[in-house]
Amino acid sequence: MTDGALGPTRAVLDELGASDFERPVAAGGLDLGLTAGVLVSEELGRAARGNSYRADATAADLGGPAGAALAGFEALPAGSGVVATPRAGGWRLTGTVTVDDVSAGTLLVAARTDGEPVLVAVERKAPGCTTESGCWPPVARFDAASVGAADVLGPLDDSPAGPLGRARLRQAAYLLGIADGAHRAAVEYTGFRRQFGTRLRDLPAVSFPLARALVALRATRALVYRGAWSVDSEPDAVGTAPVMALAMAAETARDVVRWSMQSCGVRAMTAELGLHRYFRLAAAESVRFGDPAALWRTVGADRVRSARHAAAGLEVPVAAAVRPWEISRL
Amino acid sequence: MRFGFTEDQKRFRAEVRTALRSVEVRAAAAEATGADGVEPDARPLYRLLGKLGLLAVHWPVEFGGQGRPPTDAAIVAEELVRAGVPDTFHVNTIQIVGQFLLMAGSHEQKRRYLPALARGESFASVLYTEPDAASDLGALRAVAEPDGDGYRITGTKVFSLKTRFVDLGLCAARTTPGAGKYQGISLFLVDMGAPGVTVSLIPGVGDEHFHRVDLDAVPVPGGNLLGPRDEGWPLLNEALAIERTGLDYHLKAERWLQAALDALIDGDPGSAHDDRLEQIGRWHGTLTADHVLAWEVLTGLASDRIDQVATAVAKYHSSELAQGIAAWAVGVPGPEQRANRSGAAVTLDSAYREAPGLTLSAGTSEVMLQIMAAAFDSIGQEEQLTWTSPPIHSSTGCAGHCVRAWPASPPGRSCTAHR
Repeated sequence: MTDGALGPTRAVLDELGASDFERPVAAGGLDLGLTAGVLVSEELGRAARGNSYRADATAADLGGPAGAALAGFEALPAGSGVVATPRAGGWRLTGTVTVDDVSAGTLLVAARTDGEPVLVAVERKAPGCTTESGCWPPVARFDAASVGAADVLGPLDDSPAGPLGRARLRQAAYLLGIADGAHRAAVEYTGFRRQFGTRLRDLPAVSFPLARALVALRATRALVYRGAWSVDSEPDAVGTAPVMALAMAAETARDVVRWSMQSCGVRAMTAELGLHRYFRLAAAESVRFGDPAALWRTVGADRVRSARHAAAGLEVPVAAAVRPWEISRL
Repeated sequence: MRFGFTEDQKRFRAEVRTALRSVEVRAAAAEATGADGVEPDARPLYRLLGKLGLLAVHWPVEFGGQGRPPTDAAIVAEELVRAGVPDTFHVNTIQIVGQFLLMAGSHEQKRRYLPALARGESFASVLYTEPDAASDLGALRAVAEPDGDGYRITGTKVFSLKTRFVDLGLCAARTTPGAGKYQGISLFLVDMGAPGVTVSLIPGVGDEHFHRVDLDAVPVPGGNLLGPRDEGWPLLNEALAIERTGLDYHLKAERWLQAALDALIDGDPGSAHDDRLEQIGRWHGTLTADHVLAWEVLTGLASDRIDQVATAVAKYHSSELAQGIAAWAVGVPGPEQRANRSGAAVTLDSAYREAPGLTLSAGTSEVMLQIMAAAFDSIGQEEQLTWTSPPIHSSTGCAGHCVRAWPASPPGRSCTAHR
């Protein structure tokens, strides 16, 4: 499931030319917008595959190299998984974070310096950098790993329609796909599995949680698609849409996969139905881009700020979302 | 799919908003807003809105509208609530009965009734629910017996809202008793001032109270039969779906969350309210999704597409959300705000008492879940998955079938305008 740049879905995406979908025409791409990237991500999740699209799409937005892995994004929007401290001619990285592919040659690490997030490119085999694939999800350790000044790709742009916002929406779509895939599996299985002389799905105790899951899926889909559409069509009005979509998708994935497992009984814990893959993915992917609770706090802070401005009769620029590290300054 | 509004729609919204911000409308809206269990007569406000031409902008001009797109009507509905207009009359009269009349009525019926509804000079309510026929609307007992060129309706309808103020009732009754649970039902437009109609009050926990309507051989002209005789059930199902856009519940949720934020900011202007931010963020995100769900249904209806699953999802999501916000927000105003009877405190107290009805009216949450669950068979047929064990489909039910099996009329708005 750690299908990074070299994972088994890579060949399929390459055959489709997926790397051209979002790329601007001027750069030789199809300029289909984030909406296309969201659909690719969703389908990867629905198929219960690792995400071989995420890192390259994010790297392309941030000016990073292709074929890299992402690390440390779970420390966003709050927290400090990897801290960068200055040294002569560069920086030292310290911290232990989640990485999405231990086989990639380069890691794109979300680090903090002076509280501000920056993106740093680190060679996986650089001194002080080790990876651990025996745990799930895998981990990268930085023990005073030295990087040069040129390896700092720049601030991690957290503007609403910026690279991080786009990455959040792709991840939200991936989580939506994970949840939907599990739900489809459960709906199908409970439609032919019989107990008490009837199909499982004909028992309200089984069908109602699946129906509630459908509601959660539709609501999440609404936020994800709306967010992608906003980035593509009305970038000045994006606001906290990517953060909301990611937070909701993370919680939906956790909940819907759990409800789907429950409705299918013990077989869900075996390889028979394939639900175990969604279950494992949901745990890792729902926090890969930050704790949902922290994401919701970001949204809440922005909403309170808007209400406060409205109460004072002030106009609030829609795009001026509160950055997480600014909440305490409100 | 488009998630934003067009420039024309934005311009129209701005015009409506300006009209609703007049001193006259604001004063009338304040007068029409209930509190502490007292329900004022909101008709003067609606007569004013009717004069402004805002009540039924999407109806044809010949029936009192402006011939605008149905989506513009939804924009007006949003702006009405945001301007503090109590919306029960609008939902019952325009969005439900008027819309149903527009959909299923004869030209003569539309000509006779719609213009007065659009002017805010006449009001309507649905009369579906009976003491023993709520979610199970197929159990209704009211009978319409032929009488010359018309009918005489006898039965009891309950739990409607605003009924003591309305002139017209959309009533479901059996024209062929014994034909079957879902057969032999017809729909009638009943003059609420006709002899034999008795309206009494059933006090409830909310500011808007319920009504009981006793119909004792009430004369109804044959021309007031709505749709074909004995064919009321399919019409009812369409009407129920139209009620379930979720927009009205969404607007309540939005208004109540705003009131809670007002109370928070007013109560402690200097605080960042850290302890509330996660929940506020979650409400705001869920509201944003809810708006999209409602507009998916609305744009479908504007194109004459009624998706029973989408309406059930929208109704369930919006009503559960509004109820959840109300239950949370009632604890937000502090003692000082409650003692001073601040606007937010009064609104949120009223919201808390109204909220239990939201997941009952227009189809209970349980009925909405059943509609979705019954549609799983259709979904399964569309998108087969590969299994290690072969799927066995013992049923080929569909969304339409499930609605027939679950008529979904609760003790609420769809049956009696309980909102």
